[in-house]
Amino acid sequence: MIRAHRVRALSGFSVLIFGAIVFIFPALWMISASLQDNSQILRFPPSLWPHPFTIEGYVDGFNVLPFGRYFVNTFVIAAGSSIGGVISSSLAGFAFAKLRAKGKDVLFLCVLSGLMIPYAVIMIPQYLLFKELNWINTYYPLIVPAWLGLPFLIFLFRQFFAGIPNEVFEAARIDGCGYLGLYGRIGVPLAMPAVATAFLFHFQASWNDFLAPLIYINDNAKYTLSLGLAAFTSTCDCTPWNQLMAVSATVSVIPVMVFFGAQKYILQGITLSTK
Amino acid sequence: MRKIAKLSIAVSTGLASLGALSLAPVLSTHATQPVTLTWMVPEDPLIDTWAKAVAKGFEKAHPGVTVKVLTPGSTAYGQKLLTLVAAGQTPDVFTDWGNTGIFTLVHHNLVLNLSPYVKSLPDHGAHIPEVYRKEFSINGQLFGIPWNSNPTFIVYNVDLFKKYHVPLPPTSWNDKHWNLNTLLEDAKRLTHNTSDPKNGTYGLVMQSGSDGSLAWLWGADPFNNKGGPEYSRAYHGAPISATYATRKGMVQAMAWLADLTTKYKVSPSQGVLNAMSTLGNPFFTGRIGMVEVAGGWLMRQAAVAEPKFHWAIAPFPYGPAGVNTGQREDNAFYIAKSSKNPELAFRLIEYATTGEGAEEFVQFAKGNPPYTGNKYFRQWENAVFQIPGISMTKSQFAQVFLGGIQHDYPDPGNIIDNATDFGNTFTQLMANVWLGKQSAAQGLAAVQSAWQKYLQH
Amino acid sequence: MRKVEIIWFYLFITPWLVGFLALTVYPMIASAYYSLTDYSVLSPPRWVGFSNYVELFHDPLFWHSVYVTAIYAVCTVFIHLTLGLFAALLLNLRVPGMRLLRTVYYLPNVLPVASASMLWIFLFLPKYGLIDSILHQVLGVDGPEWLSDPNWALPALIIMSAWSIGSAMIIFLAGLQSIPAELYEAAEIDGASSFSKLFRITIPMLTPQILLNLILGLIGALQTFVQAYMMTQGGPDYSTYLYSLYIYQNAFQSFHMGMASAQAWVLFVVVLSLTAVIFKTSARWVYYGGLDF
Repeated sequence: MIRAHRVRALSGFSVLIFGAIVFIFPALWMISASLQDNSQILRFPPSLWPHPFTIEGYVDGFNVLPFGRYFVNTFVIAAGSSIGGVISSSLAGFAFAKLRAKGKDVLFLCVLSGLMIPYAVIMIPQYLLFKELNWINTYYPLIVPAWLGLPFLIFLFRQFFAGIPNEVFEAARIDGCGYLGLYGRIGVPLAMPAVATAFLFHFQASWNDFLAPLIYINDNAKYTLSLGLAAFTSTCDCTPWNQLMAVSATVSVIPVMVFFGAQKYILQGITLSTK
Repeated sequence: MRKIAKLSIAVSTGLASLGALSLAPVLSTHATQPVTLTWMVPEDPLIDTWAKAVAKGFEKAHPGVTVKVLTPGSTAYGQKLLTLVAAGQTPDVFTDWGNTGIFTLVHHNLVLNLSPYVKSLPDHGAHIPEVYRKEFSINGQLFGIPWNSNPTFIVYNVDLFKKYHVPLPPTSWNDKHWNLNTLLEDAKRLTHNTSDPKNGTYGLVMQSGSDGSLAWLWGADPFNNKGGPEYSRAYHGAPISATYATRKGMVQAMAWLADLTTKYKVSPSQGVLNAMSTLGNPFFTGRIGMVEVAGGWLMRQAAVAEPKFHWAIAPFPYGPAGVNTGQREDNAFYIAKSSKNPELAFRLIEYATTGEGAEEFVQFAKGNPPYTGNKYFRQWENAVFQIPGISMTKSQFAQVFLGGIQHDYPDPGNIIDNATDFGNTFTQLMANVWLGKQSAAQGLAAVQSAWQKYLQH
Repeated sequence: MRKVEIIWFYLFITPWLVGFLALTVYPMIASAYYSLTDYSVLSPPRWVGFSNYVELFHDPLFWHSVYVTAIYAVCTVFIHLTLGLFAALLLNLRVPGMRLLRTVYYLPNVLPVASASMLWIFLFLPKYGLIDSILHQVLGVDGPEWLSDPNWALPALIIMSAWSIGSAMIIFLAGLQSIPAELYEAAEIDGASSFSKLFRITIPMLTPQILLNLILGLIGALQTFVQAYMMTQGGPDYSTYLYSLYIYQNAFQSFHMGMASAQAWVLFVVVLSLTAVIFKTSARWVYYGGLDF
């Protein structure tokens, strides 16, 4: 009985290891190709280990397009929209969790409906609206919507605030704390894990966004990293895969770093949102 | 309760519109002093370098003027242009690129009639060769000033020809022995070990014919049922009224093209060609015997690739109809109707095409100026003969190149209406034909019915 | 006092409410209006009634795109549910190093789609790419041309989607960890096999997560855009012409805003009815332990 259990665990573990290799391999392949020169990439059969090592892909790739600038642009958009998203969503999440008002349930359903509406459905009128505001080719269409609340983050905050016992707030009320104080001085400090989770979530989503920047940004100088990657054309009328992989790896660095640095928060957020 | 809800909605809507109103003036960035010209060029590093050099030179010559160079980035040029038009940010100067040609631009009423501007020039525009004048005019009005011209010809690997004892192609456009049969036979003899991904060689790559224009060699064209391109009114500023994708010449031409890959295996499939492009233009890696190419671009790639073998160029071959009409990819600059500074914009075009900008075009974009009579063209020729491996005389080179400009017909993608939709449909629906999973007739039948749908629209 | 609370409630949700009205409700209404017009942006909208919808339903390309999207959605959702659950079950084993393994499985979800698309174009290169090389070296078969073959382009995108089962896996994992251990202990005392434990305890207890993954996966699949845009442009032979790409091309490439709005509304109705049906039937198969939705 125990042996059978062991055998099963062992075979499950080997399947896992094999799967993990399959899953990590493409990413390793990307890094490996970015460190090869192009004649190695076409070597047959291909090999994972670059020989010789060269950073030519990175150097040449960064010469083709100003990826440093794109990096800054992407950061500005991601940070700008995440800050706004956290502020507006935590306010709404707090209200939905802890304040009582008629119509609250219906309004919360409206929040949830926002999760169900595909972007494609609203993108055309939004585009026409922002066009009227003269916002085409600015970052406003990419940042302002987040300041007006993000359904998923509101949901996350509501879940988190709902988990804080009411007594905590009632005690503060009795001490004469106003509603803004309840939110700012009691709620937010207690919800710091949720703040971190929400910020990271949206930061990644915004960093990785493609369609909205594609629609709104016309000027190359204002591109995001993802748009820059899609726009990559080289001088040699060829497809220099070492450069493309170098650039792809660079575009991924921040999201991967954020993930490794804040894994705990991200996984926590997912767990929270499924409860 | 309900009152409060209503109130808060009203307040928030009010706030939103207030916010929008207060932001709007800050965001419209049309500071008119000093003058700024926006100029959109195609997405290409070399053209970008050239355009920036031109902008710098033009700014120096015109104090107070700023030239802002735009490129379309990841989207197709024409799409980006229309996006800018829709957003009210039409560039002052732009070009026709990637299926957004003169017809579309004039049809949407986007471009200025340049005839008066050209007439006011000292030579009244005589420097613009007749072929381009015809191409960029509608109803006798000139709308575009050419800056780029790429005739079709065949570039070939002399060393491979010698290795496999294949006689070299001619340089005369009148040599009728240089036809598709000869081309195919040569290609077969140049094809070796294609299953070896590292050392195998392919005989031939035909590129521009895959949009249907190869049928010209069969005396056919998809936009008329009488003959070649010269019968298609759609190429002369008329809207497309009927399509003939399934006519005999079309089917024969596309079947011939598909056979190169599927039957004779002298050409790599598109996927394999893409993979081969990792190392650079596949021709210049020495793996392909002959490539059909569009003009000056090839020379540009050659200059970058510095080939390590001997190469030369030959005319486009004759087809069954006894003609050797290839397609010429030409581009012109246009001025937006909405431009606030059309005079200045015209001066920018002049500077870029026939002024100092033309010299920089040779230097940075490594392209051939369309004005074949002027000194910049000869500068370009000299530059071509600096490229390693070229093995023909200057007069032979000129014979092939200039012959191409005269023999070729403009690329349909640049001159028909709605070329994006027509072109995309063709590319999508013919994919199975190139892979040999469908006959040319089947593929073209699908194209024809899809095209008919566009006409109804 | 109660009134003050209400006022503060509405103040707190004002930013969201403004956004909801201006960026969701208004666009929905506007989109319905535009869908009844011929609108090229270059000239003002012209009322055409329902002719966009009529034309759409008579357009074979529309039905083809719906078909392609449906295949893609069904396959990816199925893969995410089954492989995601399988991976979660294995990753729930108590073995050292499990955290690292979970990270590895989740990692592909972190990469920007643009990067991932570029990477998979590279992996799918015919003959020279990693996948065809492995097929050739290990199995001795010549792999297909993947992205340039109409029969293989869509399967290629589906294979690529399997790389991102991590998102479903992590949700399942959260669900697994909240199943009380007593249930298994009781079953073991009764001598239940692990097979019956899986189907009698684990899967019924995971039904809320299955529902969530089903809905999230479906909405995600129906919105897939970047892969088709960057890797295949919807081709070859429209074999990867996903619905979002179709809308995008009609709206921002051909500038048929009216037609594109009609397409968008069709998508909205489809998503709405699918989720409604799933929720309606969920009462029958979802065990409501925790899901507060």
